[in-house]
Order: sequence, then structure tokens, then C-alpha cells
Amino acid sequence: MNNSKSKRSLPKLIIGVVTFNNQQNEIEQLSRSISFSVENISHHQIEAHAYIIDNGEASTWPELGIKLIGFDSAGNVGFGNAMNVLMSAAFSDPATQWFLCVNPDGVFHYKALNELLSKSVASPNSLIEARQFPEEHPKEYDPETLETSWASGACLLIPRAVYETIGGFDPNFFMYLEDADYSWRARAAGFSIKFAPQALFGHSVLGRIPDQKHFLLSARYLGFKWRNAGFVNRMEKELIKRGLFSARSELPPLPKSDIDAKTVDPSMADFKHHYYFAPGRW
Amino acid sequence: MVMVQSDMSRTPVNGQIMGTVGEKKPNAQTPETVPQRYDNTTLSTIIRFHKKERMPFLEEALFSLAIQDWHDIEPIIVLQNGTEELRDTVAGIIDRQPWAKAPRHKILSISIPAGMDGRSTLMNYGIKSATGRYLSFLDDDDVVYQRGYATLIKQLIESGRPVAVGGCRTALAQNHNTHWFIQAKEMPYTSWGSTRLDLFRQNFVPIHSYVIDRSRIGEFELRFDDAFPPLEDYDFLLRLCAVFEPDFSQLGTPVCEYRIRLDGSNSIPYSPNASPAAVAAVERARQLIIERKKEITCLITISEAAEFSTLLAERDQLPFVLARHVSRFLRQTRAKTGTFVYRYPWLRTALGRTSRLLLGSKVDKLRNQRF
Repeated sequence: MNNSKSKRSLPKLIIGVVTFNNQQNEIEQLSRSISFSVENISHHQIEAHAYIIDNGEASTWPELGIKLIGFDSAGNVGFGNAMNVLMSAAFSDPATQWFLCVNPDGVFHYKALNELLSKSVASPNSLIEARQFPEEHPKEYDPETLETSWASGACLLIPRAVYETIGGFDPNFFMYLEDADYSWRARAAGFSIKFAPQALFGHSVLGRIPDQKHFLLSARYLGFKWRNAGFVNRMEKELIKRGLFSARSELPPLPKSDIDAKTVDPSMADFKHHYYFAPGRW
Repeated sequence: MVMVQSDMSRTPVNGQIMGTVGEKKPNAQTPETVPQRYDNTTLSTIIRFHKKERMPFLEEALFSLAIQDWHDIEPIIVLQNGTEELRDTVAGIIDRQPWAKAPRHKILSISIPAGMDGRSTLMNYGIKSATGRYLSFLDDDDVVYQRGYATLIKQLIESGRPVAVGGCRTALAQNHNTHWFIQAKEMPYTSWGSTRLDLFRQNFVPIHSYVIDRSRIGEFELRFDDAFPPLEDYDFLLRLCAVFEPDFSQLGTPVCEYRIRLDGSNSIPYSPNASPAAVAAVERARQLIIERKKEITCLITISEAAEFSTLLAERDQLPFVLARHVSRFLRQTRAKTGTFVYRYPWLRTALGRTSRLLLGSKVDKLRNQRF
């Protein structure tokens, strides 16, 4: 990593962050954690860059110790859409081997990147999910193989092979559940999803109430896309029951899926376990 | 206010120890207590550390501190017989945490004679070096949730009480070679009790589930007794809460996690392989606690006295009598039943749901009938 010739040949890891009016202290804490975590992957011989896009007000980033590239904001286009802009730019560079999708309100443990990359090297055909900390997602995973049915996008390592096969997030999700959809698409395409229990990503989810309207609309679309009419019906009832819409006729029309209907394999989807979309451990 | 004493033959001294229970062992080091003024917003969090093999757990405990919503934190790590190398390792880990505000951490190394359980001594040195107005304790293998300390400190400020208690979840962890697999989480302690009187019956307040506001305790000496490990935390709470009524209003809000490793390596009650010495130490500490309860006096409020009287009136009703017999049986076979039930989360859940279905809201009171 000491001369420009060797730099050009190093594989790249792009850390992608989409902000939405985050507090400055959140940005600074994430920046600090990126610096510590990047320091700890020097033995992997890779070059890490950060790509940032603001869906809300412009964010201000301190020195990260790695190259930081800001992208022009297109306004509040949703999480998946904005992340797709970063992912597309990242993988347009043939040196990029991984894209790390990161929530701006989270914080890396200094060993997290190393753990994620090590897992990816061991399982190159897998999406790798970090463990949210201290409260991890309760969905099941196999403690021996570390396989799980879907991965949270809060901190998700996407290898080039997956992107080249299935592309980015479905732009029809404004926010929430684009990660479950992405995981099911990856599995349908023959990839696996692995959980990295020692890659800690500090992320406060306990007691957090999601934006109900966006969550339920995303859940409705997820059910529609993965051919579960019963789940769509439940979500529509829920949207009306909670007073978010007055009648079914008021609901926004369901968009067409961006992916070929033939690639949707309903057996990949799990609508039996309510909003966990997988069996839960608690 | 009503004075309630457990032993009227003694001279009542509120919250003071009036007997010989818990005298300091002759070899224990004793830090001097220096009265301080607390005009800051710092939270001092004391973590005891006695085995370098537990470093992966300590890393998680420190990470949970670093990402707290309450940013003004003074971590105090107290090492038992720590070497220079261990100090450097711990300092390196602290330095690599993404603190929101760079902490003024302290790492102390305290010499503990071989064969002595130094848990109380380590804690006392930590307390002595703490400069924060707020004080909390964290075991090296547990974690605090991100909003935990901010929630409790907000409660301290709003209530004006010197102690605020929050909810604690248990996480049952199974060793799977490369990592600890969390197989279940639950929040059992809220059904063990919710008031100071409940606390006097049994400990439902894990050591990392509360914060103390030192500006509100006057000259009260915060001290852990060297005679009481492994129940030194309960003894500490009994003495503290005999004088100060804690605020329990955040008991339903999870602020921390108590990690129970199902191989029994961190919790004797869940370990079928606990050494006879460890079991004997627990039993000895239980006896000391019983003696302590006889010696401490406490001022209670009229509402607490009313609660006390209601419980006394109910104690002879049939369901409560039955519950006492069941409870006694379970306590007597605790090692076996505890391990068995904790290994099978579905069984634990089924038992809980069945008892609630049959007994309704009385189940919580039933579990607390320990007079």
C-alpha cells in the first residue's frame, strides 16, 4: 500500500453510507469507528474508500483516514435508491470486490471489518451480515454453518459476484425490507446468506418504533412481489386499521417489480413469522 | 413515615450495620473514603476484571459503554493482580473504542492475596477513584443497552431520587466453538419484584441495572463488604436501599443484559458442574444475607407499609400456601431444575404462560412470597 503502482492493483472495499438529517455526533462517531476498523484490516491488503450520499441535509464528515467521495444528492429518493447510486459507482470500478452497506446511525467495533472480510473470503458466494449490537436481530441462524435466511441491511457486505448477478436493491422499496427482498433474491440466484457473529455493529434498535406507514407499505409490496396474497391483504388491513389510509381505494397502486418474474421463487420467502420474516429465537 | 424494624431488640440505626456480620477480612486492602463534591455530569462505570481469558467479553462490555447515548463516561477498569502487559492491552482496547467523547479512563491494578475472593475489594477501589456524580457498575461479561444510562440518569434527574433502577434482560448463551450463540432472551426479573419491599425479600436488581446519583446520598458510604462475595452486590443494595428509596419506574424498560452462559461458566445457580467450594461460598453468603437482614433497619413510607400489610394478609390464602411449597421445592432442587429449564427455552416459556393463564396477575405476587 506504499506506492501508487501497488495501490492500483489492490482490491477495493467501498463503504457506502446514505444519510438522512443525521446528527453531527452520529456522523463523527461512525467516522471514528470506520477509522479504527479500517486500521485493523491492513493485513488484508485492500484499499478502503467511503462513498457518501445525503438524502436530506448535507452532512459534514471529519477526516476518516481513507478516501471519502461525496455524491450529489437527488433528494429523498429512499434508502435503496440512494444506496444503488453508490453501489453502481462502486462496482463500475473493476477493482471493487466488496460493497459494504452501512446505516449512518450505527458504529463499527474496531474488529468488525476484519471479521466481515474474513467471513467473505471464506464464503465468497455469500452476503455477509454483521451482528447488530447489543441487540442483535432475533431471527434464527445456524450456529454451526452461520447460515441465515435473510440479512439486515444495517451493515451488510455485498461481494461483487452477488451484485453482478442480481444487481442492487429493488427501487420500489422506499425504505424498510429492501434487505429481506435482496436476500431472498440472492438465495434464489444460488447465493447464501451468512451471519458474522463477531462482526459487531453498534446499532440501537431496542424500543425503536419504525415509521409505520413506510414499513407497512414496504411489507405490502414484499408480499405482492413474492406472491403472498394473504400477507398483502393483512398489510392493507393493518394500514387502514392504524388510520394511515381511510380505505383500500386510497392505497397507492402496487408497482411493477423491477426483476423478472421468473427469478422470484416464493419458496425463498417466509411470511409465516410475521415481521421477523424468519423463525425467531425470542 | 413508619419505622419498621426486623429485630426490635436492637437499637435502630437506619441503614447501618449493627452486628458483626460482614466484618472486613484482615488481609483485604481497604481504600480510604474521601468525601467529594459532585458538580459534574460524569458517569463513572466500574468494571472488575480478574481473568485475561475473559478479554473477549470485556471487549463487548467496553463497546457497549462506548456507544452509550450518555457521552460523559469515566470507565474505571479494576484489574485483580493485573500485570503491566494486561494494563496495556486493556488501555489499547479502550483507545480503539469509538467514544462520542474521549473518556478519562482509569485502569487500576489491585493486589489480592491468593485464596481471597477479591470482588468487593476491587469494587471499593473503583469507587474510591471514581470522580463522577453518577456511578454504575458493569460486570466484565455483561452489556448495557445504548440508551440504558441516558434513560436512568434522566430518571434520576426527574425523580430527584438517589438510585434509579431499570429493566434487565437475560441472554442465554450457548458455546459454539467460534462464538457464543444467543438462543433466547427474556426479562424475568420484573416478575420477581418491583418495589423496595420486594428487594428486601429477594434480589431482582442485577448490579448493572441501576445508576446512583452520588450528589444525593450525603455521607452514606458506598462500600462492598469483603465477607459477602458472591452475594456482595445484594448486600450492597440492601444497605443502600434501606436508607434511600430507589426509583423503579423504568423497571419495564430494558437498560442492560445479563448474559448467562449455559455451560455454567459465569453463573453458579445454572451450573451443574459448580465446584463444592463455589456452592459452599454461595450458601455461606446466603446465611450472611439472612443475618444482615436481621440487623439492618429501615424507614419505609406509609404506602410501603400498606403493601407489606396486604401481603401479610394474603400469605395464608390457599394459592399462596401452595406457591410457597412449590417455591421451596424448586429452591431445594435449584441446581437441577434451573439447568434443565434453562436448556429448553420452549419449556420455560410454556411454564411461564401456563402459570399466568391459571393464576392471572397473582402469579407475580406468588413468586415473591418469601416471608
